[in-house]
Amino acid sequence: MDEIMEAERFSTELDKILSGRPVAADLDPELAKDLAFAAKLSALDYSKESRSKHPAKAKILAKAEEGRLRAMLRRVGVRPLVLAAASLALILAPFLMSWIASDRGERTFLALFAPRPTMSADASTQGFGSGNNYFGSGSSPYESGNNNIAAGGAIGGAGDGGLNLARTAPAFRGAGARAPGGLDDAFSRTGSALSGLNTSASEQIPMSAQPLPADREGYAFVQENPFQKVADHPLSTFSIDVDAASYSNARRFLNGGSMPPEDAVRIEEFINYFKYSYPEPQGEHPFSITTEVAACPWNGTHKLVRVGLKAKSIAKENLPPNNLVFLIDSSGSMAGADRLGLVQAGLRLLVEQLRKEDRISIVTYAGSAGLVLPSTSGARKADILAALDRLSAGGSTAGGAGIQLAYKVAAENFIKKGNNRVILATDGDFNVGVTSDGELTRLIEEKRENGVFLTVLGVGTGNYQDAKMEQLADKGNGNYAYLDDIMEAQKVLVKEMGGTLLTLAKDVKLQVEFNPARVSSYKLIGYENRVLAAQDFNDDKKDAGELGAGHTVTALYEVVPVGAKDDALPTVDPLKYQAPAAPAPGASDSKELLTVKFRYKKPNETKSLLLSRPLADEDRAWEQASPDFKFAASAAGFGMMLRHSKTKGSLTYDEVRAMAQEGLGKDEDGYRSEMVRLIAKAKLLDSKER
Amino acid sequence: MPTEMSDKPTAEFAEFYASWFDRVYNYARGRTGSATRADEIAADTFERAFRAWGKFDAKRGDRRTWLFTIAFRSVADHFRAEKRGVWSSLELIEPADAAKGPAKEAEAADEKRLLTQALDGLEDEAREVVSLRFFSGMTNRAIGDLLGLSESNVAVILFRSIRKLRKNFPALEA
Repeated sequence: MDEIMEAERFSTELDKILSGRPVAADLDPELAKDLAFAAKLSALDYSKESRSKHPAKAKILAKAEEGRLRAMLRRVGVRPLVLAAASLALILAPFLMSWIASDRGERTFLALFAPRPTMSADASTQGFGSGNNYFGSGSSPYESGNNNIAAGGAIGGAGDGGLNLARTAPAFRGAGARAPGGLDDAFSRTGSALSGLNTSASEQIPMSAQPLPADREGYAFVQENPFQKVADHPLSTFSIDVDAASYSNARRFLNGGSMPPEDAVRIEEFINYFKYSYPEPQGEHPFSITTEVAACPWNGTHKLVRVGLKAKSIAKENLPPNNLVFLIDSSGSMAGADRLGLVQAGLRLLVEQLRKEDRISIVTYAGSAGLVLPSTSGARKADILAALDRLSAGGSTAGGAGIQLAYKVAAENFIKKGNNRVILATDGDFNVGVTSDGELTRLIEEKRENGVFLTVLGVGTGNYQDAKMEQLADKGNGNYAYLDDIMEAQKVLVKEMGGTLLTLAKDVKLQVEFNPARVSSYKLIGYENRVLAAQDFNDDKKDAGELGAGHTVTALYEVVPVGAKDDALPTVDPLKYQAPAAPAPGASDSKELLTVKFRYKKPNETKSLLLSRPLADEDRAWEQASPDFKFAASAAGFGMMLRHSKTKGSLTYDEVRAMAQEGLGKDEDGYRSEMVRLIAKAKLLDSKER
Repeated sequence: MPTEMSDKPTAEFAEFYASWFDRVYNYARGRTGSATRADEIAADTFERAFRAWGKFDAKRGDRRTWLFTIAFRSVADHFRAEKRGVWSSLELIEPADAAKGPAKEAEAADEKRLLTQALDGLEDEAREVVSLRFFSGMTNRAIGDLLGLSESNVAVILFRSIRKLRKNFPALEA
């Protein structure tokens, strides 16, 4: 009874607080504390985090307008025409109807007949959501977008800070505004000149100025590979991985002024972000193999081994025809220039590359789930671009069967011997309309067997689901890229289009056999979630990574030679019941450190082919290593620093940076110099290294 | 389908939207603990509200109660969808590291984080009552009507929740 009275007293006083009136003076001290606490709760305001506020409104109002005008169309559509010129109407009807049904026709019609169109105001708001406006207000958004990219490229070539400037410019990247003062200030100030391209719509909705919530980003735990004794584990087996999303994701953090979470750093993706000049394959196999060994730069008594693969480059015009289905997440969380806007801008670049034999469809899933663009030839660029521009984020996720629809469309337009692919663009927090993760995986695997592959493009911060998207792409024999800005979109969708879109070899596995007479232990650097059991190598049912046209893949091993001071590994007692394995006859005389074996399948075959290549030690010092080797090692070292790896020895950011500079090579795209700058940033940001 | 809609309700709705969106968002955020979900629920709520705009009857309650009844249902639908497993995302993961601003900002951020955590720890019914009470500003009676509870029942749930949170989060007392 007491409690009820106390509770009601509390509610009475709470009413006063919530309506801004003073509370009673004679409050029991405990109750006063309750109310103070309640006041704090009621003052909680999360609304700045909202991304759908403006786009959702624009969408609702646009829909209302559409409904109202459709109704009006029905009313006006009959009377005057029937009364005045029934016969003329009969002749014109089919043309008129198709004109009205087309979007442009309807808008023109509305402009003519709507008494007080409120649409213009709403359309500008919506336009922002669709990411058009930040390319300028020109009537051809693509062209002006192109200019900006050219400008960014030119600045990048000019030298220091160029790429970062483009990256930090809010016009390109919503997260730019999040950069705290100091480090990025100089860039941001210059960058604001670029953001001046924004139209007034962005002033009304300063979306890019909002702090981004780090609400929930999902990264799978990565346990670094340990050193293995050759006596116990003479074989090291793993699946290749050409993804590079981890690097661009880490770059997003560093440019935003914070260290990336350690598990967001996958070292093999750092190494593979960069292209290395491996020779073009000759002969029957679709890739070439390169091996190299030198003293390990971070531990002089160890050796570093590099194994490189390069898939055949194929000129754009010789690529098989594409049947691409863009599956675009347009739910509320995708609003903003760094999400849907970036996806649209990136796909626009891709569309410009298309040929007439390519086919594009667009499927969205959100409130407006459905086929936005039926399969359309790459020759009809204007139609495709218009459909892309019409996309807007907002509304709830309807749970529509987006992914099934996308696969259905892909199957209906299947091109034999072509590249049939669903390209999923999302921030990862998506509702795909199947009932569980397991079912989704099965669906993707099943479609993969039917020849439809999956590419995943991740965008956005805050609810970016890294682990899940990587897994999806793996299941779909696809690849996975994280787009943090338009430069990255250009790299993935234009420069590396062949590799991103065309698979040359699938289930590529690599197995290294170490010579126990030369090597006492070894460590595979990176590829932690790609490690396979030794027996999986010959098992053609075991799925592994894909190699796309022009792709390069690099793996590094840190190797401890026999006789080196090796305090890294604890030893076990000698075995009682079996003799230690002895090196095969001849092994001791051989200079071979190891033999690398590869297995791969051609895209439409189920039986794997085998290649192998021995590697002899030539006792080279690190200084003699090739520039590519130096750069690959620095990318690995950078990853190890960011992960605060236990096996990095005495490695420092400065050493990593020096190594990267020695390995710069020609660096035509500026990607390598950009890493040099990122290393400098990380050094400043990393509190554990001070 | 708003077939016979004139311009006026659209303008009215726009104003209504502007003044209520944040509250609905905060309610959904408090209720679900997720910004993404809050966005989806808020957008969904207003879409539903717009479709039902003409059906609102002032005699049966105010716009606030009407709107939050819709929001309440939208939350329920989202949870149902999640139970069916339609929502296919990974588990929620705590942000790695909150931004380290000046001390005062950090403190405010810290308090917000603690309060959010406190909300997260409430049981379902209590969380609903607290979210409705603090974010929508509905009266105990209106909340009771919506949830099928008596007015004093609502008061007691509220009171117990606050006491519990105070006990569990002494850091928020000061």
